[in-house]
Amino acid sequence: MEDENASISYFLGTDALGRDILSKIIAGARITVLVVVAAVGTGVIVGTTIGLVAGYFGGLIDDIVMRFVDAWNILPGLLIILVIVLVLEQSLETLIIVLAIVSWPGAVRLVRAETLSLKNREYVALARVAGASNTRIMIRHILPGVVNIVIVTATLGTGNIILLEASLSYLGAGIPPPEPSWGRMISEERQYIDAAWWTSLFPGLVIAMVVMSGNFLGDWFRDRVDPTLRQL
Amino acid sequence: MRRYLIRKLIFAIITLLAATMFVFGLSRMAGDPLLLFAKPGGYGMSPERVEQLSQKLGLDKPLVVQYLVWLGRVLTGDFGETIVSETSVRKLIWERVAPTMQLAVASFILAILMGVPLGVVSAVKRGSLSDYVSRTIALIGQAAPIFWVCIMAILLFAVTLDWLPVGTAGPDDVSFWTWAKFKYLIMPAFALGWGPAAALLRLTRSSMLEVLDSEYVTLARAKGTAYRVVVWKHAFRNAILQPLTTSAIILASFVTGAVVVERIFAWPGVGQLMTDAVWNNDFPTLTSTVLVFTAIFVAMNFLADIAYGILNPVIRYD
Repeated sequence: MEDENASISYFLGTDALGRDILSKIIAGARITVLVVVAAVGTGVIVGTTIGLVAGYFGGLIDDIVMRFVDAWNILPGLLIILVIVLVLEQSLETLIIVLAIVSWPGAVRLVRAETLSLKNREYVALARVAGASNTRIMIRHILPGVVNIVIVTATLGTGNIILLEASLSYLGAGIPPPEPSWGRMISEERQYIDAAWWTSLFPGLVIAMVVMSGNFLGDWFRDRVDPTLRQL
Repeated sequence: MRRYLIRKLIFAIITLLAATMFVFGLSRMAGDPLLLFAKPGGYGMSPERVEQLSQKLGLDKPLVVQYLVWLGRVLTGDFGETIVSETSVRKLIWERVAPTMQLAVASFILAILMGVPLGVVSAVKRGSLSDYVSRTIALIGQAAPIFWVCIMAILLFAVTLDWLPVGTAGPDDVSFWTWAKFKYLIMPAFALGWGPAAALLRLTRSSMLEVLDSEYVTLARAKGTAYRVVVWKHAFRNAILQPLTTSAIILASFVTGAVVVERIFAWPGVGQLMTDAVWNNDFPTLTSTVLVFTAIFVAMNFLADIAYGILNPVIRYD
């Protein structure tokens, strides 16, 4: 019943209850991926669509959407989630929905800002002169221009959602037990920090490395889809 | 420009109102605050006492009335009393605003001083050693969970090396501008500022690369303009727009981050007050603290809008 340092049988040591940390990390990966992919996918698709429409049409639609986004943005996400999770029952579905709700406004803001500057370009005006409909202009002429920013957003979003989920789990409002969770591992072992540093170090390292891999992937993807960069 | 400003100001106020409604509604959904005092059939609270309490707290009136009464009192600066200790919320928040502001301002300055110049350098010297170093700092800053950074910092600098103290905001009787007090700020400020600095660095770099690739930069170079002038006068002014619009979102991350950082470092700020209020179901404190953060953030957003309007007259607002 005590912490054990790294050994041949337990590569990353064991926690206060003698459980293998490596096994817990591996088991936690599956649940983290599920939560994050579901949340980010929903958030980015919804956010990009809304941002594109708001930025392109402007006027009243833009005002309504942006005020809504602003109102949403100024609320501290972590705290809102804490309250919602406390109100509703703590479950995986709730967590995914709540993370998606929190993640979409970021995409809206950036896509809208990009659309605003793209829609006044001459090639868009020419497309309109050539008789292209609004839908066609948005999808064929503006969307390719904002894909770049969407990918960067989605990448940063993935990382942020993993981190947010970990923070929630750390505060005790994330992935519900008995599912293993990286954030909760750190929180449970925090009190033994000066006696058993490895119990906090390794789960955090894993979170950092996964988030970092996502960012690398995004960078690579960005270089691939942006022909102007490839020419450099 | 004047109409644009007035419009933004009106919207800022409406936003603030909508946010208050949302926060108020959420805090009420979190559960009947009365249940804290009187569990049905438990603790010997008589029905008369329950009624008395709910009258005192105004809980017997319709929700809309409760909201309006609450809003009216908030606007006159009366945040009510906490449920837990029955002390004035305004006093409680007021005591904790200064530490949070210290932390936020220190982290924001740190984030900008680290993020923007490093982002420009790493875009201009793409592929060089300084590019890789900057990007590594950014990658770690964005990838490491903030609570983990805090714990590791404590483990390294407080437990192992014993260089920096940890636990509070330092002694009360010492001025802020002394080392005795200031050394308490170092770890929390870095932990909170690292992530936003990384975000700023990435954004500055990516938009700077885009601008440097554009034709007018090539033209400016072809004219024979010095490279330094091209970078800072031609490219930087356009490239900074994207990071600028995001600075509001970066500020939002301070609110989230401050909640965690203040908890771990036992920093006596508003964020800590907030999480305590969540766990205690203490809705006067919760709504007031969220409102304070919200008001600050709306103001920051408004400033960003003004800056955006001044810097980019191309984008037409009508």
